[in-house]
Amino acid sequence: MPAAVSVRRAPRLAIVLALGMIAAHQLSAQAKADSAVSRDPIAAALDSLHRDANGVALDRAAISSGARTIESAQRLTGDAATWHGPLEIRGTVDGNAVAIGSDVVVLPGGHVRGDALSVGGQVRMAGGTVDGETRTISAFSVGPIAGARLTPAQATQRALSLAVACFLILVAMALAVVIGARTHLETIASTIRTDFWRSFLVGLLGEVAAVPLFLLSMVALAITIVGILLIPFAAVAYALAVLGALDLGFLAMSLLAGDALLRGEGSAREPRPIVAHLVAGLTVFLVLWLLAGGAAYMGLAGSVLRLLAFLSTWIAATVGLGATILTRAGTRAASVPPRAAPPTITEEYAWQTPTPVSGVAAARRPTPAPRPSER
Amino acid sequence: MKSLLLVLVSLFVFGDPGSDARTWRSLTASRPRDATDSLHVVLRYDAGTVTLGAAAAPLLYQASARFDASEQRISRSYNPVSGTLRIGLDSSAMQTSGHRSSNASGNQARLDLGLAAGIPLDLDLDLGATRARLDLSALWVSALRVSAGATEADLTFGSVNPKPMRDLFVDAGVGSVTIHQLGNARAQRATVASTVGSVDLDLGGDWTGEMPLTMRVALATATLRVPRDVGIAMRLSKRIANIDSDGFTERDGVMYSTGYEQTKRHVIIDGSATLASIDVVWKD
Repeated sequence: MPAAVSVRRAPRLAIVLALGMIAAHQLSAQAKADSAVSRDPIAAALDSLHRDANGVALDRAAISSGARTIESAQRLTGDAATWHGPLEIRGTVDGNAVAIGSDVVVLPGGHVRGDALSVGGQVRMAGGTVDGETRTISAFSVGPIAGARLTPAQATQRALSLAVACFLILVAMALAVVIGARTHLETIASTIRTDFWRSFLVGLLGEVAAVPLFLLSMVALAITIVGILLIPFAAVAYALAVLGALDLGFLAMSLLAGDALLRGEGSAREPRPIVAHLVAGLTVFLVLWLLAGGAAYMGLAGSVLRLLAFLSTWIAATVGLGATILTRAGTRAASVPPRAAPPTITEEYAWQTPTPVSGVAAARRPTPAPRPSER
Repeated sequence: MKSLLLVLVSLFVFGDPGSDARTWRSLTASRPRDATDSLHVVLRYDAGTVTLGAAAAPLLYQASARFDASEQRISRSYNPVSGTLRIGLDSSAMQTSGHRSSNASGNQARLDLGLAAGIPLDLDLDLGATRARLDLSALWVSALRVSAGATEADLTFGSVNPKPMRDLFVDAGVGSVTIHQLGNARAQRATVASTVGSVDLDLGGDWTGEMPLTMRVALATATLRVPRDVGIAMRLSKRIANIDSDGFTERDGVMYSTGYEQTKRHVIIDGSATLASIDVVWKD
């Protein structure tokens, strides 16, 4: 009983472990990023300001923390900038006046020859002049840049969402198949069990031939005017048929995976809990993809995991497709090639009659009834 | 099993927490006019609402924008040597992490642009899927080019252009364009085009003499609202087009409105109409 319980909990445990691992990686990466920013937040802000389309490039030396005032007698060559403190201009700034997280105030006599820019604050004209542009932005507006790669966190989130979405869709499909085509599914699964490699080869052929077959059928339809009209419908029907076959086959493979995972559990029960087995099988693939999803942080190991997940899924889909083709979508059992017949008794031993050790009761030889004349 | 599914659904729903949280930003920018004697404005705006009008007195331009920084990028630049202001919102260059909901962002994005009155403006506007309200009253527009996509544009010439406009070109694209008091533009050459859209032209305003107007409409409808004291001479090459020609007489391939010779103001229309409908509405 404990063994059965542990087997039942295995998928759940695997998911929890996978999520925990991914979360740990995310936290670790976040912590690294946070520590980098916390080491020099001003440098990070200057970098954002430089990359922002509405920002400006500033030297690190131009910025100071807290409030700052350019006095009336003062003339500053270059830029004046503050970090989380108001920048008051009473004198002259030859460059730009920038306040990050606060206001720029240009007071009487104050003169900014460049731009006056506030990030997260205001530029207040209180009697001074700005030769350049007066600009405020509510926050750095650097968004994801075209062609930029996703961050590991984004890639992970995206992969996890995708994996879970696919899993949920497959679970819904599995339920529909169990309700409407359970026997077909069982037939396909049985074919995979008995004829795995043949199913794989047929599936491979099916995948290779799918596009040429599609093109051929479209060309065939295009020969006649009525056929041309049917092309859009035929194309959709073909696509649906291929996808349906792939899905049915993959579910059959998942059922087998679930059977293997939950082997022993409920074996005495009748009928078999097919939904639980299907979900368990799908969970195996989900766990693979969850692990692959969290692989953005893992370098080469991550690539291996991704390859493993892809190969497993592809093999399952291919075998399933082959079995679906062999069984005509589960409508008939695959024609299994005849097994080698047991060795026949040759003429050499034909004369021998097997005799049980305990002996055989001798049969009485039938004798003809005596003629009346003989009596 | 139930708890497992709950966990997964939660992971799916909340798995990408940052994706749906819009990162709205606002931008304001203005520049003093100083000694600038003309301004060339290049505006590219591909989604949202854009308005154009006059800026406050000492300013060359003032802009106020709201946009979603995760999906859109707004940028502006000013070249004091050429006197060129480039400003625009671009959604096409942005990439999001698998989610793209430009409709929601585009519907709420906004740019309000004010331009200096009293200096000649050369306006080059390229509009995408936008709602544009262009109030050119009080502005001195020396040239105007509007190229619209799926735009609902509304242009108003509320006051007379200080000097005649060198060129006016409006391409409504697949959207709709309404122009109020086009006569106030005093355009030396005006072209209005529409493809699979609609154009509503009000030829009213304070103008004299002749107004040349080129119309190119295809798969579109055009409505001309003409003051009664204006005469129309129309030479359009028609291909399966319907032109409301009641009250017009044709001479030498040109359709003239009734009393054309007696009117002091004339609109000379040429161009083409293909699978289009052109209506002339007289207004008092």
